[in-house]
Amino acid sequence: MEETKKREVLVKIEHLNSYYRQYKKGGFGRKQVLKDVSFEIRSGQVFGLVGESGSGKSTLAKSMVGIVKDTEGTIEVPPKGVAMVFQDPAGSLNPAHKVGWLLQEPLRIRGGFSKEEMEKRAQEMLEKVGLSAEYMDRFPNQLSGGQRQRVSIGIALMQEAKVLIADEPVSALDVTVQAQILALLKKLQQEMDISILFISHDLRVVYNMCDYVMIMKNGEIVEQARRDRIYFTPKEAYTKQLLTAAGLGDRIGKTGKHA
Amino acid sequence: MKKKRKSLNFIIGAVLVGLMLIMVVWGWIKTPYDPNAMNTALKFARPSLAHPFGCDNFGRDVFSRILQGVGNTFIVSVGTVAIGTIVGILLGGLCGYYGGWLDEIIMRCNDVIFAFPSIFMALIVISLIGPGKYQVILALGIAFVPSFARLVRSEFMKQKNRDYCLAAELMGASSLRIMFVHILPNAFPVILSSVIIGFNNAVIAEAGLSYLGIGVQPPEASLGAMLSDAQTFLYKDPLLCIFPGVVMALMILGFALLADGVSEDK
Ligand SMILES: Nc1ncnc2c1ncn2[C@@H]1O[C@H](COP(=O)(O)OP(=O)(O)OP(=O)(O)O)[C@@H](O)[C@H]1O
Ligand SMILES: [Mg+2]
Repeated sequence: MEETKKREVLVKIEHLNSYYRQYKKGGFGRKQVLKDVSFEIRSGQVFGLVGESGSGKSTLAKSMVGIVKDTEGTIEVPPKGVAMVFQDPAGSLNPAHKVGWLLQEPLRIRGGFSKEEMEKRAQEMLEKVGLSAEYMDRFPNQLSGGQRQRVSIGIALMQEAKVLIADEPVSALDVTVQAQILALLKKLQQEMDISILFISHDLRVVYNMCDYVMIMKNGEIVEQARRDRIYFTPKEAYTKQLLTAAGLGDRIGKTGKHA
Repeated sequence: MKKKRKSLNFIIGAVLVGLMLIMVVWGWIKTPYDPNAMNTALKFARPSLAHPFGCDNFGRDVFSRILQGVGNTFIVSVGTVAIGTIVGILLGGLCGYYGGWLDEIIMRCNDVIFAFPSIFMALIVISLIGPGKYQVILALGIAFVPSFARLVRSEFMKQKNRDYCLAAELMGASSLRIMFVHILPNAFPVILSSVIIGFNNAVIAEAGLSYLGIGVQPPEASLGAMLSDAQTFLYKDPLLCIFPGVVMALMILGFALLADGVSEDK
């Protein structure tokens, strides 16, 4: 834990407010979804973002990559350094192109790679995410959900981003497959030393994946701290409530070295 | 059971269209006789071994003229559909992807053109640029743009909000790249079947314009022009109408079945 403190800050969000355009009687109004959100993500960190449905987790992710444009406050992310793994790989993989083509697309966009090199890199990446080379010629709809998510992770990593945003990356998947994908994500994160903003509403999964946790409710930060601090000595009633609801209430108050 | 019918439509359509293509190529390479050579001795000649479809009022070989006519009809239809599709994809794609005022302006112009039947629209254009084969291609092409643009636009609007477009945008893909490399292939199945149907409409529209005498100009043949000429002799020599009529009907049937097969496939 000492070590995380020394790591460089990659993402710095300060006093972020985000808004959506919303239709009201008599015209369009602004609906505030995020309220005064501040946090930092350091290199090599897996940053857990937890909150109930509608608390603004996805909105935060979208604000960070510029999809939600109506924002106030500072958003500092590494330039071109954020890649995203979407919740549902069935929608985030282009159905008209083959896996090999999709994996190479980030390189094609960046430019300056030979055909052979792009092919070689795509194949290596496929292997990295646990798929054999034969999958290069498959279309996304010829893959299982888990395989599709492996491919999306591969595409995100091909972008050589320092920060990966994973917005509920396994909630569209079978329970049995979920553990495999999470293990893969963790393994790749350690191997490639990237940071992950890991969005989830499953506190157990977040415990296993993350070393820092932020709890959100109604677009506001409830509390944020190192993982063990949140899980063993939560300060806010809302956090305790979430932990209890997840069946983790009995840990509260224990020192939590080996939970 | 259902599966079998699908492929049957497709097969019959493909065979008919294939036959048509053979006739087109045959007509380009060499017709049995010069389609414009007149021979008074052969006026209204009945079908024979030498002239399988007989001869017309000028003693020209009908079979040779049909080969040439199918070729002309084909060129006009291909040209028309090409203009309609390419311009339609560009305009519809831009409108569907960007939306906003650009969409408003282009689609309102579109509506104006669309409000007229395409034949009528083509007539207006012809009256401005004059009759002829290439003029007809341009006129019909313009008349065909709105329906393609609408189709492509609605397909792009559907696709652009899907996560794969967002993913491409986050990778740093340009808007043009997202439109034409990421979205367009997904819109292809829809576009393809309407291209085939458009082809049919073009065949009919070309026939209509040639029938009015402002399409392919005599003495060159087109199926529509042949029908128009033959009409005068409908009672004297009905075969002059029947041969080009049947060829055109089969051509249209072929494309319709093919379009059916393609769209059912999806
Ligand atoms: N495009 C939009 N326009 C208007 N309001 C929106 C839009 N997207 C989300 N919202 C609203 O913003 C709030 C936060 O939504 P968001 O998707 O960020 O929640 P979330 O924490 O990701 O929820 P979940 O766990 O269900 O994914 C919700 O009240 C939602 O209704
Ligand atoms: Mg969400």
